[in-house]
Amino acid sequence: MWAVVGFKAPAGAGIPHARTTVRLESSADDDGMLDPAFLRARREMLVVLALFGLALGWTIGFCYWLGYDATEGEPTEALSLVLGLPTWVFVGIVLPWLIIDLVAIWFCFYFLADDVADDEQVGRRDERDGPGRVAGAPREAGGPANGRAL
Amino acid sequence: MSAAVFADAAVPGLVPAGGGWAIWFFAIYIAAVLLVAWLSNRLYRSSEFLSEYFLGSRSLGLWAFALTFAATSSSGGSFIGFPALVYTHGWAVGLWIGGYMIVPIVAMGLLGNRLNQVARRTQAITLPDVLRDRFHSPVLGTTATGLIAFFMVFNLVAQFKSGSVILQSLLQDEPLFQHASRAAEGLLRSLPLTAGVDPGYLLCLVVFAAVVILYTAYGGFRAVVWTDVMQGFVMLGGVLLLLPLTLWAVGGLGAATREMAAMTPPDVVQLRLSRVDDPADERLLIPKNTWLQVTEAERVRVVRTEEACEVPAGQRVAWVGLGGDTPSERVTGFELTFAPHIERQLPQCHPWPLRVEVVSVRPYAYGAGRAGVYLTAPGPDENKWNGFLPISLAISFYFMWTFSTAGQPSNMVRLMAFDRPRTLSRAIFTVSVYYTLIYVPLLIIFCCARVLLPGWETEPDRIMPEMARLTSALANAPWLAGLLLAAPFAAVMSTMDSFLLMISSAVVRDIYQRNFNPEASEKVIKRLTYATTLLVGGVAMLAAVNPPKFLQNIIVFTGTGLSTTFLVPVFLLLYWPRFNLAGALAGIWTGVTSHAVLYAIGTWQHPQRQITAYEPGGFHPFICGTVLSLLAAVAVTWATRPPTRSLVQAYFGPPSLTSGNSRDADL
Repeated sequence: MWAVVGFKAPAGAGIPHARTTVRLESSADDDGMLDPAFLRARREMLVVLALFGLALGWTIGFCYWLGYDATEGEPTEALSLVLGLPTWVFVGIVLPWLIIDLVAIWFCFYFLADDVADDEQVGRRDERDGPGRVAGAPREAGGPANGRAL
Repeated sequence: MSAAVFADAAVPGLVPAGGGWAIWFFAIYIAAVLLVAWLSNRLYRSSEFLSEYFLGSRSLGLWAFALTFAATSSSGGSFIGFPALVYTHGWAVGLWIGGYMIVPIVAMGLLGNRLNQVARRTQAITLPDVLRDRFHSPVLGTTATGLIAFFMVFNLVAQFKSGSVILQSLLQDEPLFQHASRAAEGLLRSLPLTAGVDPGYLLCLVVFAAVVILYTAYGGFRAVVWTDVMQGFVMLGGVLLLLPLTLWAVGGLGAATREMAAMTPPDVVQLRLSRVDDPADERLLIPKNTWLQVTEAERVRVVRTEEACEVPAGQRVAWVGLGGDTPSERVTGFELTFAPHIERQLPQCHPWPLRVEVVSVRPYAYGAGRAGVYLTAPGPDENKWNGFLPISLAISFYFMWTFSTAGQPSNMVRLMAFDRPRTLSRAIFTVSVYYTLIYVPLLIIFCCARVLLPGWETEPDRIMPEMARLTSALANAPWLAGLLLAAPFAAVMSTMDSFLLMISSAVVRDIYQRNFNPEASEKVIKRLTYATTLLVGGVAMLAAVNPPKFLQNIIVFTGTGLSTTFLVPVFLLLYWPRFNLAGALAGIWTGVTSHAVLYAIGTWQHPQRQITAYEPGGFHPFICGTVLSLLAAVAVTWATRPPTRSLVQAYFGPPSLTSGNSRDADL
């Protein structure tokens, strides 16, 4: 069971799922009203959470299966090594660690927003006129009243 | 004095850990750090002061951003505490640290691009700026500032102490350092605050604190970042040098693991030591970490002392804690149980005319007498019956490393400072590789240390300096030890500087500029900033002269306290348009309170009232507090009025300034 969860990780199984979620949520929020940069950031956030879940499942699953000695420490069984590492350390920790580095290549170089947003942000910065000013956010009369709750 | 010299001269192995080189590497290193601060100070002349001083003008490029993030997150714990754990509990610690494989992606990817977008929209410089502007609420901003300052001041004091302790342990065997601390001793006695403080510790504290405060105050954020980059490379270099040296010394990783598979944990023993020669006029000092052979046993038994003890002049029996409240004849130590180690350490046993008796033996609570226990989880443990890392604790740590790193205000500030999205994505990859190259080798190195250097259960925090000394001696290059030892103090410094800057930004920006004097001139702000950084650093240094005990616990308490407080509110304000001020305040206060209550229960239950976490079901207060904070924030938000449409538009609406953008294509 754990193996099934685990082997999905390198393929980046989180994406389709994350896309669906974004669509569901954004339709509720009225897509047209939301900043595309925000939607993109939210999609990234959901993929991050999915990757975390996969990594957690893989590591905890394999380590629990192979690493915990319930058998009163039979040294012969414990002595299966891969590259000089105990097998469970290799399969449960070092291997996923390396796979995540590979996934990070996909995540960072192919998935995350690249410099498309640059012009927009540089442009915005030029519009600002000093620290502390909240641009595009007119002061509310009296502010949100529920702030007095505490 | 004569007795001490007698004892020291007789103890084998008290060679300076860096072969005399550590102090020179430290000096070169300090000089480089100060140079960086001077260079970055020159930049202020050409840019707006506050944004430059606290945020580097939001212009961090790839290497600066990636390495400042990595270096700030790895403090002294990574190079002192983590090796000690690996050494003590074996390969199971690999699972303990396993969460770090995903830390870069979660800690930078979860909030990164969005926090950067929002901070740019509002021109926020500090984290309280973000909170305050998002809801137009000075109350929220001030609450956040207060909580950050509260946790960080505690943390800073603890970090100052841990930095000085590390520096002292690295330099303590250097003759030059010993001269200096003896010279300082007389001066210190005359001052009321410093009476009774170890002069060596104080010397380290003053040097360490002065350097950190100076370069942080003078150079600001950019100096902190650039020194972090340097420190990041020093740490990486140290680890990558130590790995091949260790593998070579141990004869390959497979050989080391096979030997570990046969190893059994030591027993904790109580010893009674007495002189068998005539009582002498001189007292006899027996330092800690002394190897001794048990007298008149049927088999060869080798023990090592965990505490220093002393045979007073004219007496026979050794005492621990003479001059204290409760002197004792029982000396705690560890007894080797693994035959090859016993054989190897026997020649190291001290030839003093001492009768060594084992009064009591307490085997490890988990793993005693079981070969293979260092190879498997949960790992041997001296005190816990269910081992070092039961599976529930492993899951708990996996969550904690990732999400508490994501929730650190000092990390969030860095996410506000990178120059463009491309930098973030490159940095996540860089930090992923960086952590792989730091933590996996450290795990391997200090598992091998179990094979190379048995018996450091007595003082596991020394295992890093000891390995540096051993491997560089075997490689016939003593200067190497100096270089290797630069890594831990680089790690501490890179954490301290950014915390110091966080506090002073909280005071100047969040309290003074935004509450009292929004129109303050740049000149006033500049002076106030320098003064505050110096003052905060100075006060923390004075507090660290007589620091609180239980250092590591304070660091963990404040670190997890900050993330419990800020992770949920910041996450929701970035991603949830419906989130409102009441929800944010509820999230913050629920987080702080539940974290504090769980710590209060744990501390109250502890026999010595030590700061301890109460962990319901094996889950750390960070996890419980974060879950409660999330529930409270969501529930209160739904129960109160939604935010106004214009506020939501300001943060989540499409930018009105740009047009004809085709970015929707990739959604």
